[in-house]
Amino acid sequence: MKKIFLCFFILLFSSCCYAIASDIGLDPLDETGTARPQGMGGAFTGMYGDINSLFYNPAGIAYSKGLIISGRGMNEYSIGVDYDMQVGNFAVGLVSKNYKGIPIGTVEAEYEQSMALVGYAIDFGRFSVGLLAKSLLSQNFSLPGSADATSSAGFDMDAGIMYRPFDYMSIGIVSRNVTANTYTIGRESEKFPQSTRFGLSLGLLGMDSIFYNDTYGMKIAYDIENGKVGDDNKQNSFVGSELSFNDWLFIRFGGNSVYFNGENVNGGSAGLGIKIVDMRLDIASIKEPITQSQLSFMSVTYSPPVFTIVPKAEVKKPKIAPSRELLALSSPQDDYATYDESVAVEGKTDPKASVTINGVSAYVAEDGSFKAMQTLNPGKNLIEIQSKLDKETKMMTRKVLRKAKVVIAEEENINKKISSEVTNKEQELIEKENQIKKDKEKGIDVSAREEELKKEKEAYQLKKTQLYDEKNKMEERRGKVENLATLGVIEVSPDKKFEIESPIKRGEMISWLVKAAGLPVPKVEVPVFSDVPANHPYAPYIKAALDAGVIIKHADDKFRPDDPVTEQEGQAFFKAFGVIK
Amino acid sequence: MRALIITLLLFVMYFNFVSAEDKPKTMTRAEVIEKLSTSDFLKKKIGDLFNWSVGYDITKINRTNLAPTISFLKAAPIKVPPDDRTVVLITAKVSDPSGPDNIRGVRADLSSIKKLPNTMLVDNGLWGDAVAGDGIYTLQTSVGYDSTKGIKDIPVAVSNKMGWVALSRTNVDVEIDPIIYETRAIPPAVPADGATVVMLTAKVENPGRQEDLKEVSVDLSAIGLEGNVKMWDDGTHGDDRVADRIYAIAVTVKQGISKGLKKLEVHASNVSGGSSSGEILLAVQ
Repeated sequence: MKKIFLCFFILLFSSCCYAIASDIGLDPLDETGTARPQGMGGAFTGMYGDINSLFYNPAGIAYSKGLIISGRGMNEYSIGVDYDMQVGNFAVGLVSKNYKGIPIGTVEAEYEQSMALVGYAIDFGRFSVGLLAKSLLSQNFSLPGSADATSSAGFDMDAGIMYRPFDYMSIGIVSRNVTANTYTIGRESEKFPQSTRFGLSLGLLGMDSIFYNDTYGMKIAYDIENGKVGDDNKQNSFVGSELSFNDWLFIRFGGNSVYFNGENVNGGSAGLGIKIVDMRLDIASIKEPITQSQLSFMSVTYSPPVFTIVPKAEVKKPKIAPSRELLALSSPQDDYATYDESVAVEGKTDPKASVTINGVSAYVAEDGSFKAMQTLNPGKNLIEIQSKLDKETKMMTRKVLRKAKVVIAEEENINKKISSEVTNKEQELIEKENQIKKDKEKGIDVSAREEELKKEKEAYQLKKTQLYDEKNKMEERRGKVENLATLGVIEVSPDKKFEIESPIKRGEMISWLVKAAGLPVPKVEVPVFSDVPANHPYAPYIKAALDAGVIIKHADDKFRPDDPVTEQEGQAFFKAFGVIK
Repeated sequence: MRALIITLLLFVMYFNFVSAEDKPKTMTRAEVIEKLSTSDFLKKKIGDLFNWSVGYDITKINRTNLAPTISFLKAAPIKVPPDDRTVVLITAKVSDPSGPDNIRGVRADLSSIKKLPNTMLVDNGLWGDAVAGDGIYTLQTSVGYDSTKGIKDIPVAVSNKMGWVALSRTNVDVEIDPIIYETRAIPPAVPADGATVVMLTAKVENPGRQEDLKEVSVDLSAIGLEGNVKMWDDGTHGDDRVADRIYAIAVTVKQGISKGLKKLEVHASNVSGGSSSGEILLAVQ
């Protein structure tokens, strides 16, 4: 009865064919229908990470990018581009559909539609929202015996959300034609049919799936859609599966139950997908539920890892001048002791900065590095390093102790002795021991030689201990000499060996004591003693001691500065200078 | 005789032995050092020596200057047009406490005259340098087209292999216009009789090369003669000496010119497009 009424209605009011198309279950703004989703029976609302979401759930746009061209012959096609704008994804699309052989009573109608799509979606991690604006570009309903009914006006929107509670599960909900716009074709007006579609997708096998497998994969998807068709409620359901046996070949199956003309009709589908790098070719063959004809779809998608038309938005950080290291020193370390006459002052500064070391400009290379050899006075040295750039100044100091280097003649002799008497003897003993072993192996009586070797070893050990004791003692003495030389008490010529075991001369001892006591050293212009002329190297010190009253003149007016100091004299000098009491 | 010799030897040996026995014991340096090191006042000094918190004051700064020196630095010519063509010769005489071999390099910052900021001067006898290894470093450059007029500083730095550097600076005056000065009429007053010769002179200096001065002329219309008459520095037309930068022309004042002080405008122009004017004052009696 209903079909008869519809035919009558079409014949009488062919200009309001849109309403007819809508009433029989056609949606003039139905954008669905590309190869991969079709291969899965149309269950795609909950599918994640595919540009086909543009035609199924606008929220899915947020998780995909790339380009898709899908078609069925020359008349039916879907084109979409999805851009990642870093602040959400923006997509545009164009859809043209053609239904032939729509059974309307005893006749078959033909229906064509085309629309433009503009979508935007933004994700918040596992959750995304999206909107898809759909503008009807044209539609044409042809019924034999009637004039074609056309329209080129109409606009509505889809709103969708997508949620991924787990890596293997995603849920999508889409509300189609949310505004339910009313528009007119001919003398009739109609609302775009509203519907709500819920989709669930599960990864059962594969990488992000319930059951992990890095080779095989299996996804299942289920959509259910509720809406109105005229006065009737429609409920469509879609189910599909995608199997993969490697990372490039996919096989799909699906089925659906779709409302058409007052009842639900079942359809089935199968599909194949081949992935080559970032490209994927999908084909699907379906049994179209409305026309009940067998249709084939083919899609090409291109989804590179980076597919943007707007450069990645750079976070505009406030321009803060990089923390410029105006002065960094790598040498010398602070509190550094050395025997060297100079030390390398080395570091880095800003290439435009000027560096002074103890007030003298240092050369700064183009990379900001500098290295200058700073001479050191004997004893304590303070080195001031200053870097200056514009009004900024940074100063660092380094404390360096230059110790006097002293070579003790006797220490060298001991070292030579160790070399000759210890090292050589050790080698000799080893050779002897080896020879005895060999002879012993041959059966020769070596007991006497062994006894002799034992004694030799004991003597050697004793000698070795003795020499090393002497060496240690000498090192200790050298340390003391170095300390006194660093303090300026003892003058040691760098090119002369210091003979520490030599008798000390009277003049020399007085000079040491005067310097140690810190007595003022006068200028000498006349002889101090008859045997100490003014130009005698020790004359100033002898005069200083004389002036301080620590030595006195005798009747012979002689001091004998070059005579060795006797123990008695030495004790007297020590006492006079307060070294001993 | 043999017995005598043996007796004498025995005597000497005995004498030596007795002398050695009687000799007082002498002190060695080691003994004195040992004693000094343990004395209270030196123990404190030695303690202070190794104390990093004591004694490192301003007096411990070694101010020995091992930096090289620039004893002479000049840029010639002083006035240069910004033509990227006129050669500026920068000459620096440098020395180093450790000798000339210790010089690492001499560099000039020419950014003020729109050239490289780090240009090397050479002492290799080439590229304008007269003698190799004489410690006089030379650089030939020019002033860039886009340089503005005025005095431009040219810092020059010499560094040595010890890492020290000495800085000095010279300058060039970037000028495009010729300079006219010392304008004279000799004699300064002449009758308007068409017979008395007066020598008009002007000293003109051109920035850069003098030969780039295109023309020097004087406007004689005030004394009844032609408008612009060329002045000469070639020893002719009344000019005394060739190329002394004094340009001259000998003229007479036309009869009938009114008495009074006449201003004769001198104009000079050069190949760089610069020009300038001055005036010669001539009293007509």
